Amino acid sequence: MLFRKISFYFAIAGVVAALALVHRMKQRPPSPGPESPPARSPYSDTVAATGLVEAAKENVKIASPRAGVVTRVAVKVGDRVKAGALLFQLDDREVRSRVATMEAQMASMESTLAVEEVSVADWTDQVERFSRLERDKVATEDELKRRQFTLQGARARVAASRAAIAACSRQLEQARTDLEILSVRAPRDGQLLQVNVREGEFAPAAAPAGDPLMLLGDVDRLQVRAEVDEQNAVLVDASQPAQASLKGHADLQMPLRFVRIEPYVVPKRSLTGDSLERVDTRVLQIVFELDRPAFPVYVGQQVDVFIARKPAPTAAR
Amino acid sequence: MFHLALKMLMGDRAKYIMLVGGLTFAALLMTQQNAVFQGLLSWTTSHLRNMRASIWVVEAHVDYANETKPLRDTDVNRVRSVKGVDFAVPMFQGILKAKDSDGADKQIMLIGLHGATLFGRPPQMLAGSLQQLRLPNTVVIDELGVQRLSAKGRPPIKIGDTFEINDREARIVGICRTERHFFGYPYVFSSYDQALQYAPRQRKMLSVILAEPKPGAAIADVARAIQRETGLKAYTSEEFAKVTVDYIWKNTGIPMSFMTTIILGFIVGVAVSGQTFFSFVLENLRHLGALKAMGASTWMLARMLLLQAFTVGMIGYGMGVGLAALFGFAVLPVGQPPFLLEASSMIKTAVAIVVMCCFSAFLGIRKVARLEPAIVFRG
Amino acid sequence: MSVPFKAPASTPSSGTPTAVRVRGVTKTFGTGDSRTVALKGVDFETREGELHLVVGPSGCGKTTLLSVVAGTLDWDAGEIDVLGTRLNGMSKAAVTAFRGRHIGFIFQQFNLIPTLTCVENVSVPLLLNGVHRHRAEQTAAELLQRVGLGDKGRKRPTELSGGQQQRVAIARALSHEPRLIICDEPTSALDRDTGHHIMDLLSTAARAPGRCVIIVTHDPRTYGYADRITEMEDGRVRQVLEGDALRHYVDQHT
Repeated sequence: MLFRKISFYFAIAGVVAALALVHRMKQRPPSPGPESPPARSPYSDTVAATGLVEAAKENVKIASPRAGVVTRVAVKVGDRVKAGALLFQLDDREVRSRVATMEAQMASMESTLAVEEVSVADWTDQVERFSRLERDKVATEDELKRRQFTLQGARARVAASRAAIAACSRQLEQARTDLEILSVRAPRDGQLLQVNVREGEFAPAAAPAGDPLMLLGDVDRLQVRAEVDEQNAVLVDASQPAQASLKGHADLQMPLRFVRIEPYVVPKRSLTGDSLERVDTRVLQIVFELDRPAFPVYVGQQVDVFIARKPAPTAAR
Repeated sequence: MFHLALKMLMGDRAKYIMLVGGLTFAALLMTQQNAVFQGLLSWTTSHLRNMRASIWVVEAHVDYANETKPLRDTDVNRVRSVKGVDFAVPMFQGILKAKDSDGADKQIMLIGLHGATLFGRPPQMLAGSLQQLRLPNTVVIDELGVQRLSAKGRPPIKIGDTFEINDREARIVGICRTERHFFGYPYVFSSYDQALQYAPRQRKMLSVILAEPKPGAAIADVARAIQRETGLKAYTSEEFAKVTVDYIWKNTGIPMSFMTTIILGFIVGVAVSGQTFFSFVLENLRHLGALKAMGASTWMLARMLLLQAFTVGMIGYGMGVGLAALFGFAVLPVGQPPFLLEASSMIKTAVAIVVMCCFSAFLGIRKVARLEPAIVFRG
Repeated sequence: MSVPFKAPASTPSSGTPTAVRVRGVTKTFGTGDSRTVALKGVDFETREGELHLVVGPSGCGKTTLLSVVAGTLDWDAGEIDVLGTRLNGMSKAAVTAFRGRHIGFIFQQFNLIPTLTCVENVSVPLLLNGVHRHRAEQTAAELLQRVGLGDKGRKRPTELSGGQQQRVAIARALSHEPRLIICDEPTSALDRDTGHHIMDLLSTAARAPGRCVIIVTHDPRTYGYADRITEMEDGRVRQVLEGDALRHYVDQHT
């Protein structure tokens, strides 16, 4: 009964093989899980948000007051500057020559004035002498009158000269102001976060649509601007603690202190950098301040923000 | 007596082979077709196993796993705000056009994984490193991708090679193993931000939010909480798989056609095995009559026939599922045709075989019960 | 297990007890036009220790009579007593059990199961009587030895000659020591010498105490072994022969 045995063993082997296949097909590699720790809320009830690190005082976008060619950039990125320090210089040759012309004009007018004043002094002296002579009847009244009129004319010419000088000096002052304007200076103390202008470039007078010519900020004190979906806005409570972690580094955490809630709900800023993108989401912005942590944090970095919330009432939806 | 019953059964090799062969064929057909069907169904949910996550949060009108209806970026934070959620990350999925080095267009399934955590990444890397997805313009492709994106007559595409996705360069930094997508697209993994660069710009780009519950929280409860608080649809991985399979059942003819084959296999099996066994009984009727004359009761003969039928059935079953398993082992490394052998399919086949055996034995027993032992006098 | 063949040979006499008694049995097959009356009120009797031949032309009803006596066929009317048991009114299952226990069968076509070995074939009645497999095969082997086939136990019946097969069948019929052995044309498929050998075996078997053998045959070679012959014709018993009449009848037919 060899055949019987063979078929029997075949059948057993078949079932075993099938079970082995079933077992093998059941096995799947385990879930690999996150490759680095993901952002987790430290609170049991939370409102999650995405935030952006900012300088505590809002950043200053430096623009050019006049359209013109930049002749000199006095600073580089990262420089700390005092208020009034020169940032960059626009082309000022035209204005300078205007100032020089004005100054020459002033000098010529002042010399003219000096001549006129001498003439007034001369005729004043003659009028005094002829009035004595006329009283003594040495000269005629007519002679005296002529000299008196000549003196009045000289005085008027002096006054006109003075007025012309005053006008010219105003113009000179304006030209000098123009010159001063072409030197762009730091409006306040801070650090240059961006410098987007090079010597020889043309700086338009209008505020540029994209990046500013220079970005000046105070990076010693940082703040986080957290954006919460408008649907979650009701859940935000100013009195609750909050924590931020750097995007991609959930283990680097920073405690946050509430500063204010921006009263106006704004369209969500897109971080993809595509200006054509349209959004239909509005977000509530909440500003927190934070101390500079031990690890490096840079202005403009994205952070995951978790704000604790009171557990009791569930979201109204 | 029962050992003699077995000997009577197996003594005639040709008849025995006929009997076992019929049942083997029936068992093979049913098991194999069922496995191919299950395999095909499992392809519909392969997506859920390639990107492994406990909870899938999708747009409220998504009906099955391969459907994409985008969400808003801020929904990630809304999901994160739900109690019981440990973490949640965004994922992009989309079918995009890729160009191989020959310039031919190929459709791919682009998956954008959250750059920091790479959560949902494929479990098995064959070469290269997934971490390099954080470099610009890098992708990880699967084996099918290697096959599809390689130009004809040239060595297969490898790490360091580039191709184009939507006219943007993509450099391969790794090759992974995935389960085949239902529609047969190769998987291409990139970081989420990179995927947004590749994909044509749309109003909303986020496809899925993958979430994990806090340790100790029930996955289903957390999914319900997400659904309740965000108004999005949150499925556990198993629920999503079930919903997807249900969708396929309801909306395609695939299950019907397979069911038809399986039922036909069953009917053919019943007919063949019943007919063969009945003719076996008829041929042995003289001997059964002699046994009856010699004092074997109908009950004894019935038990003998049942034993014979079930022996044939079990051996046929064993060989049938064995052959199906051989088929399975053969196609396993190829990955095609779909094949998924489950214990439940084996049980179903076993039940069918038992039914066939009972039916066959019933035919024989009915004959034997009516048999007058007197037929043995003068044949 | 006693030895069936060494029983002392004794001539049956009217003093020995009756083994089988049949009174007025009728049997009709079919209905309507195809209706055939096989037995038309048969009386029949066999005593213990007797080898009883039932002869007659084909279709005379002798096989039907045998089937009825063996309890393998229902009959219409009449009484049948076998080995002191009234078969009338017994359930089918009880008849089957009775048959299994007390009756041995030998068929014209031997009816050995071709897929079983000789030993296994012989052991079947023992197994049906609940004897353990090992014991049954041991007994079967001994019986094969007795019928001169000790070396053929592991062979299949198809590997044996007709006579050898019939000897295996006899061993099977005797294996469970039945009190009644029913034979249907046991020699008609065999040649002359083999037939005689078979009849020797059967007549020896019939001599065991409390046993009898009923043989249905139309093979005249077997007449000489008979203790009694019942001749049938057209569903009736034509004559019952014993003693001198039997001897005269035998001489006439051989």
